[in-house]
Amino acid sequence: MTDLLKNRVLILGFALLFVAGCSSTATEPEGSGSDGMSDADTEQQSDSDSGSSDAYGAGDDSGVSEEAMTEAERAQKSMQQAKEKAMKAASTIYFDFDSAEIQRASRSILEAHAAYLAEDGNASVVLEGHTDERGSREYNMALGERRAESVARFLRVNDVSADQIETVSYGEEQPAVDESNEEAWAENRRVEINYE
Amino acid sequence: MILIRNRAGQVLLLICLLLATSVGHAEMVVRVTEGADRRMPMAVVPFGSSHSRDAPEDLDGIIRDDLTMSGDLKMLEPSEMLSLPASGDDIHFRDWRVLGQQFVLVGDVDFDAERNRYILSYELFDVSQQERLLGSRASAAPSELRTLAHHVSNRIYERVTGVPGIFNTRLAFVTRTGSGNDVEYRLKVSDVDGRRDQVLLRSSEPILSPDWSPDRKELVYVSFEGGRPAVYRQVVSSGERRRIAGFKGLNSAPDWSPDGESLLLTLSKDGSADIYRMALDTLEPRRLTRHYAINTEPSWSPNGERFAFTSDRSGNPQIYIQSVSGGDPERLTFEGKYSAHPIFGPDGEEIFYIHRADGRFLLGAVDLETGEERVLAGSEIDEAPAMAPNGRLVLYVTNAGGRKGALEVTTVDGSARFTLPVRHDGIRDPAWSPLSE
Amino acid sequence: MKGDWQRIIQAAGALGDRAVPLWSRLLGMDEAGVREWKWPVLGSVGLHLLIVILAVASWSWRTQEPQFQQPQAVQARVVVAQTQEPEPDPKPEPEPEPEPEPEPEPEPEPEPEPEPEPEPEPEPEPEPEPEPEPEPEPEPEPEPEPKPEPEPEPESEPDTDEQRTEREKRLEQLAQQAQTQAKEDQQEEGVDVEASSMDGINIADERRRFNTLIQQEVQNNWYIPPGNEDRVVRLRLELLPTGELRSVELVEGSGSQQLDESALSAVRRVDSFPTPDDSALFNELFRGGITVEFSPQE
Repeated sequence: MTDLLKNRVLILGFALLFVAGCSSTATEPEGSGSDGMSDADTEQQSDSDSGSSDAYGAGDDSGVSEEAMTEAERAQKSMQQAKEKAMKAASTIYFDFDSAEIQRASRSILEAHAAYLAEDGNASVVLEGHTDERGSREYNMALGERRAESVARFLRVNDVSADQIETVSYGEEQPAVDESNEEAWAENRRVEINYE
Repeated sequence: MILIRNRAGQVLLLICLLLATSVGHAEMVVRVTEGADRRMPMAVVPFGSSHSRDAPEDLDGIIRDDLTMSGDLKMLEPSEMLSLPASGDDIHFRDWRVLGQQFVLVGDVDFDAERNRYILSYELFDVSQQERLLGSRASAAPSELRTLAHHVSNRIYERVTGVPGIFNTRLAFVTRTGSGNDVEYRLKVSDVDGRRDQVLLRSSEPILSPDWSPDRKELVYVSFEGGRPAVYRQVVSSGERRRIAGFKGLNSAPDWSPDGESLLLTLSKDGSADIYRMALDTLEPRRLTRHYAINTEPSWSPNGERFAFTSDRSGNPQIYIQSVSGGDPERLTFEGKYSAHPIFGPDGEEIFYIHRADGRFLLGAVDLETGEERVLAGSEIDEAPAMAPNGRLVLYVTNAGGRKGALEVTTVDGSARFTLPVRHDGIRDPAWSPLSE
Repeated sequence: MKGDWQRIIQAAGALGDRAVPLWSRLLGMDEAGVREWKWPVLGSVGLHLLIVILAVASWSWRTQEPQFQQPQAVQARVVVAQTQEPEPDPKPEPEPEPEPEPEPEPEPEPEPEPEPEPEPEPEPEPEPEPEPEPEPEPEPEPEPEPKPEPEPEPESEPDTDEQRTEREKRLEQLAQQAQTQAKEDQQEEGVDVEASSMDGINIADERRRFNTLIQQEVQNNWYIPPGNEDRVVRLRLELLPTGELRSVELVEGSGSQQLDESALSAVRRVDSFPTPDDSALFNELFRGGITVEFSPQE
C-alpha cells in the first residue's frame, strides 16, 4: 500500500515535470501535428471540461447525486481527474506513422521512469504498444510490439533490469481516441507505461 | 500405271486448288479476342407459385443477389422483363433475345404440406441457342430456404461458367461494438451474403485473425482474453476449443496449412516478430524467418510449399516469399512504401495485398511470374483481404465513402465490385471458408 | 397383347416397304439391295425411338430432389463468454445432390471433328463445293440463293392471345430499334457497296473491311465465361447474302464446354452479319464459308 502511494507520488512528480516541459514547447506552431505532446495537453484540458459536464448530466438523470455532491467534493473530483490525466500523459510515449523510433521529446520522461525503476528493484512495468487504425491489423500488432520493445530497450539501457519489464502489443485494437482523423491517429500511436 | 496416273492427277488437282484458293479465294478467318462485357447477361424470372402458401424467403431474389455478387453475371431487373414465364414451356425466346439476354432461369415453387417442404422446380435456358442447359427440382424445409436458394445459385453458376460456385460457403469475421468500458468483440460466422450469422465467442478483449481449417469444421483465431494474446482452435459446430499457442510476446496471424496439419503463425518469443510453423499434433513451433525486423502475416501457397509474408526489413513493409522448407526469402513488391498482408490467389500465380498509395489503402496484386504489380482501382480497403475459395473474388472490409463497415467483394481482375447486403458496424478480419466437398 | 405387337411390326414393315423406292433412289442402289436392309434399318430406327422415349420419360420422373439434411443444433460453449444468441438455424449441407437428370443436353456436339483444320487451307471438305478454277464445274447450290429465305432461325410461334398486345408492341419496338440500329451501324461503316461489278474494287481491302466488321459484330455479342484465357474455339459459318446465318459448325473445341457454348451463342445472337450487296463480291468473300476464331485475352 505504501509502495503504491510512493509510486503515485513519484509519477505525479514526472507528470509535473512533463507538463512543465510541454508548456515550454507549446510555443511551437500549432501545426506541428507530429508533436503528440502538445496534443495530449489540449486533450487534457477539454477532457476535464467534459468530465464535469458529465457529472451534471448524471445529476439530471437521478436528481440525487447532484445535490449530494458539495462544491468541495466536486473540486476534488476534477482535481483527481486532472491528476490521472497528467499521470497518464506522463506515462505515454508517442510515435510517428509506421515507426518505432523514440522521439527526442520523449527521452526525458523515459529517463525519469528508468531512474525510478532502477532505484526500486521491486517495481515493475507493463509496456503496452499501440498503433493507429490504418494499414494491416496483424502488421500493426507486430508494430505495437516493436514500439513496446523499443521502449523496453531504452529502459534496459538505462539500468532497468529486464525482469522488471513486460511488453504486450494491442496493435490497433485499443485506440485512446476512437476517431478517424490525423489528431486521433497521433494520439493512438503510443506506448503506455503501466506500473503493476 | 493407272495408279501413277491417278497419283499425278491428284497432285495436279491439289496444286490447282492451292493456287486457286491462295490467289483468288482465301477463306476469311475472323479473330475475336474480346467480348461485349465481362458479365454475362441473365434473367432470373420471379418464380411462380403453384401453392397458395407464399415461401417465407424471396428465393429468386436471393439467387439474383448471389449471381450478381459473383461478378460474372449481370442480372436483368424484373421490372424490365417483358413476360414472367414460370416454366420452360412458357418461354418466348424472342422476348429475351430482344432484351439481350444470354440466359433465362425460370422456376416454380410448390409446398408439400405433408412433408413440410418447399419444392423448387427450375430450368435454365440459353436464349440464342434455345437450349435447356439445366432442369431440376430441389426441396428444403421452410427454415432452410436460404440454403436451397444458395444451392440453386451454385448449380446455375457452375453450369454457365464452369467454375465452382461459392454461394453455400461461409464467412468468419470479428465485430467490435460499443466504446470505453463497454467494448465487446464477437467472433461470428455467417452465410456468404452475411445473413444467418451466429456468434462463436464474445469477449471484452480483442479477438483477431480467424482462419478456417481446410475441412471447414474449425477455426483458429487470436484472443486477448486475460490481457495477453493466445491462439485458439475451436470447433464451429460444438464450440469446443483449445488454446494452442500462448508464448511470451506476440501470438499472431495464424494461417492453417492446406493439408490441415500445421499452422504458420507469428511469434516474438525469441526477440523479433518472426514466422514459425507449428504442427498441430506436437504444438512445437519451428522458426522459419530470422530477421530483427518485423516478419508477420504468413500466407500458405495453395500447394503448401511456400508462404508469402510481410516484412519491413527494407525500412517499410513489403511482401516477401519463402519456401517452408527453408532458404532465403525473395522480395516481391517494390512499389510504394506500404504493402502488407499478402494472400495467395488460388492458382498460386498471383498474390493480393494491401497497398498504400496517395494516403489511401487499396487492394494490390503482384504476378509471381512477371513480378508486375498492379492496383485494383476503386477498391478502398480497410482490412485484410480474403480470397474466395473458387479464386474469382477477393473479399475485404471498407469504410470508404460512407460505406461504414461494409463487406465488399471484387473480382480478381477488378472488373466488378459488389457490396454485400448485410453490414456490421466495426466488422473486421473476414475469412472465407473452403468449398464444401 | 401379342396381336398388338404383331400389328405394330407389320405396320412398320409396310412402312419400310413403301420407303424402299425412295431410298433406292437416294442411295443409288437397286431396290432389292435396299430391301435386304429393311429389317436391320427398321430395328435400328425402333431402338432409337425407344431410347428417345425412355430418355424423355425418365427425365420427367426421375428429377430427384436433393435431400437437405436436418441440421443438428449448433452449440458454442466457450469459456470466456457465453454464446447466448437465439440459436439461429445451423447450416445443413445441401447433400451431394445425386444429379439425376439424364439431361437431353443437346451439347454443341462433342467435337470429334474429322476435318483437320489449319485455317487458310484449300478446304478439303466434301460438301461446300468444288472450287471454281480447274473444272467445268456443275455449281451445285450455293449460287442461286439471293432470295431472302426465311431459313433456319425459327422466330418463335405465332402469338394468339390478345392480352399480350402490350408486350407485343414493346417487343416490336425493341426489335425495330435493334434492326434500324444495326442498319445504321452498317451504313456508317459504309457497308452498302454500290458497285454492281467487281471492277475497281480492291478485293483485299474489302476482305479486310468485312473481316473487321464481322469481328466487331461478333465481339459485341460475345460474353466470355471467366477463366478461359489462352483457350481457342473455332467455328465455321456459312452466311446468306442477306447477312443471315445459314449454318454454324464447331470446328475446333476449346476443351471448355462453357467457352464453346459462348462462341456458338455469340454468332447466333448476331441479327445480321455485314455482307456486301454485290453478289459477286459476296461470292468472292463468303462463298466458301468463313472461320471465326475465339480466343479470350486477359
